[in-house]
Order: sequence, then C-alpha cells, then structure tokens
Amino acid sequence: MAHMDFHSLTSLDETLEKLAAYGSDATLVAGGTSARYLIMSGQVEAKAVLHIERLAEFAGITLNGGARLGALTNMRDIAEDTAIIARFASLATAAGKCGGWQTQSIATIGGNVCGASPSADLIAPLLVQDAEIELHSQARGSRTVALTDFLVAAYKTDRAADEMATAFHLPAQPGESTDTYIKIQRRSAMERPIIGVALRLALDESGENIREVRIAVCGAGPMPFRASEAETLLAGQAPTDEAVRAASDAIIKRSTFRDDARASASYRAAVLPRAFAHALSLCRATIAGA
Amino acid sequence: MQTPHPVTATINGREETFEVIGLESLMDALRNRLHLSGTKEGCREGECGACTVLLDGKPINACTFIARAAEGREIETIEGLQDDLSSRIKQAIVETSGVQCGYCTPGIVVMLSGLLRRVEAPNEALIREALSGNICRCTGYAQIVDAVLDVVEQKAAAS
Repeated sequence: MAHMDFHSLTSLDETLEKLAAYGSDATLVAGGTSARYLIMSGQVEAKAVLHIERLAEFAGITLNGGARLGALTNMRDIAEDTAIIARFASLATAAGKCGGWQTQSIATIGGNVCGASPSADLIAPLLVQDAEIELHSQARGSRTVALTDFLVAAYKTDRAADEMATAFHLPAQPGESTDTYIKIQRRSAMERPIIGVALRLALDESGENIREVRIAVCGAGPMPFRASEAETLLAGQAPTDEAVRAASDAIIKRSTFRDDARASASYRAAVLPRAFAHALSLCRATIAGA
Repeated sequence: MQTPHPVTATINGREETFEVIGLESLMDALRNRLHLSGTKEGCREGECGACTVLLDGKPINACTFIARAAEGREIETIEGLQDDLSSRIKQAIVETSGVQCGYCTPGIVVMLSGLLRRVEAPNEALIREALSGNICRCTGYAQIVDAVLDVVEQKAAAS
C-alpha cells in the first residue's frame, strides 16, 4: 500500500488547516467503522487520513426549542438520550438499530450522513425533522445547509473538500406532533434497511384530520428522499383507507426499486406501503394516547 | 514501504508502546504486536463482535478501529478482565454451558462486562440487544442470556 499520512487531531482549527492543505486528498475519519473499511478495500482513495474522533467539543446533544447534535455524537448516545427519545423518537430508534453496540459506541451521526450511503440509517429520520447541517472551513467560516440540499446523490454530498461537518440542527417541531421510524430488515439486528420509513405527524384540534405529515423513505431509490407529493395529498385530510392508499401510490410513483442481496425489488414495492401505513398508525396511536 | 509508527496506550492497566503500520487495526496490533490473542478475528468488518474490546470503557470492534487512534487511550481486552464482575460472568457462562466452540466467548464476555458495569440489572431484552453485535453460531444464545440473568440475580441476592 502506498504511503498515507495520518493525523489525529484535537481542535477544529488544526483540522480545518489540514483540510485546507490536503483538499480532496484527505479523508475524515471519526469512529472509522465504515471509513477504514472503505479505504482498506480501495473503495475510497485517501492520501491523508484525518482522525477527528477526539474533537470532544463536537460530541454531545444540546436542547433548545429543538436540538443541536454535534457531528461527532455517537449512535449509542443518540439512542439512549431521553430527550431525543421523547422528542425525536425516529432518530433514537434508527441510531439504536445501526449495527451492534460495538459500532454504535463509536460511529457518529456526522459519518453516517456525510457517507451518504443509500441505506444510511439516520438520514430518513433527520429528513422528517427538516434538519440542517452546519459545516466549517478555514477559508469561508461556517455555513448551514438544509439536509435535503446537502445530499446530492448516492455517496455524494455538498460538502466541499476543505469543510468539516460540525453539527446537526433539528428545529422545534410542530406542537403535539410525534415521529417514528420503521426499519424493515431480515433479522432483528445487524442489518441495513431493506426499506426504512420515517414519519412525523401532527393532527388538527379535532384529532381526526392530518394537519401536517412528513414522510421520508430509504431503500426505495438511489438516496433517501422526502415523499413530498404524498405529504401534500394527506395535508388537511382525514387518514381514511382511501387517502392512505392514494398517498402510498404517490410514494411508490416516486420510488425506484432494485434487487440486491437483501431483498428483491418486488418485495420492496410490496412492503413499502405496509411500512408507511404502519408508521402512520403508530403515530396516530401515540397522539391518541398522549 | 510504509514507516512504522509508535503508539502508546494503556492496555489492561499497563502502559504499552508498540509500532503499527498505516491503518493497521487495533485487533491486529493487539494480536500480532502485543500477543494478546484473546481478542479473536472473525469477520474483519465489524459484523461479528469476536474482537470486542473496551475503549475508555465502551465496547468497540477492535477490527474496525485504527490502532494509531488508540494513542493515549485506555484499552481493556479479555486478558485484562480479571475483576470480580467479569469473573462472575465467565463462571456463569461455564455453568450454563454457554460455551461450545468458544470462539465468540471472549468478545461476549467483554461486551457483557461493559454492559453490567454500566447497567446494574439489565432485563432479558436489554441483554439480547447488547449482544446483537456478537455472533454465536453454536449456542443459540439462550444459555448465555441465562448466565447474565444468573449474575444479575446473584448481585441482587448479595446486596
């Protein structure tokens, strides 16, 4: 193997300086659960590895009206955080289903999102929160981008070569709303999602009609996406079987299904409407029981 | 050719310095450089948990962790887990016949030590969840889960 520089960094300034110097030759590695494998197997070419796991200031969860999660917050901490469980349940669930505890103890939200894998567990739950990502560079300071704009294509994001993701901002959510994440997998753990559905639901005062619903799906296209057509169809409607079916059809229309080692395209197409309907009924039950 | 780099870390309570190359995994460094072969090699990609060690008290797969990132950290391997709690876990696994081929056992004991240090009395669901990243092809897990429940029961009886 060719020579590779390795720097273990402890401050943002130091990291941004190295990123500015190496540009696209650098690969950022936090827990390394995915990145090390990608480099060793030749899928990612890195002339320099910048180890950022020790930038402690970017690990941790702060609550405001919504929440700010440092990009180096690990999956286990997200899965076990009582405030995240209460207010952003879909995110806590997804983090707790991403690999085993050995992976979750060290894999970060920043790595999961910036890797932009089509099956990244945290992306769909973040999309239904209207999450934003904050990035820093030496040359241009900080900027904040909506996650929908940040994710460009499979394995491709809007992150510039000299930027590091530092935080995720989850805005305050509509009052009385709730969210959930359904992950369809063959075993109960250690799987990538065959289909994942994240859903956030707010009902109107009557408790009968949908005020707002946000739906994000993974495993149904090259990237997780917000099913905005289905969201529009359901807004202001009562979630009758007919309305849910119409919304389902809109999600399917937006999807492209593929065969892979985990499941066939036809299985995915069959299971997605059921996962969606299940997510919707779980959220309704939570609101009714609250 | 890559130049070897020295890494200094606390391994099982003792400061050790060893040389590693490139992105060599912590698992390879523990096994081949420090001759701590209790950390087992299974999948080499973070799927099986045979190489579980504690990094600053948290369970990780040593096979996906870059050894150079261990600089200055505290690592505990199966060889170092001689405390009362770990010993009780090992004894209980023997008594319930939770060992068959034994290859996954060190990783499972490390994971369970990490769990029981942090959670006083985990229930069966939590034990199973904690073990979800440790693959055992022989036992079917039932005896291992029973062993942990026995340890929890002993602890409750003793207090």
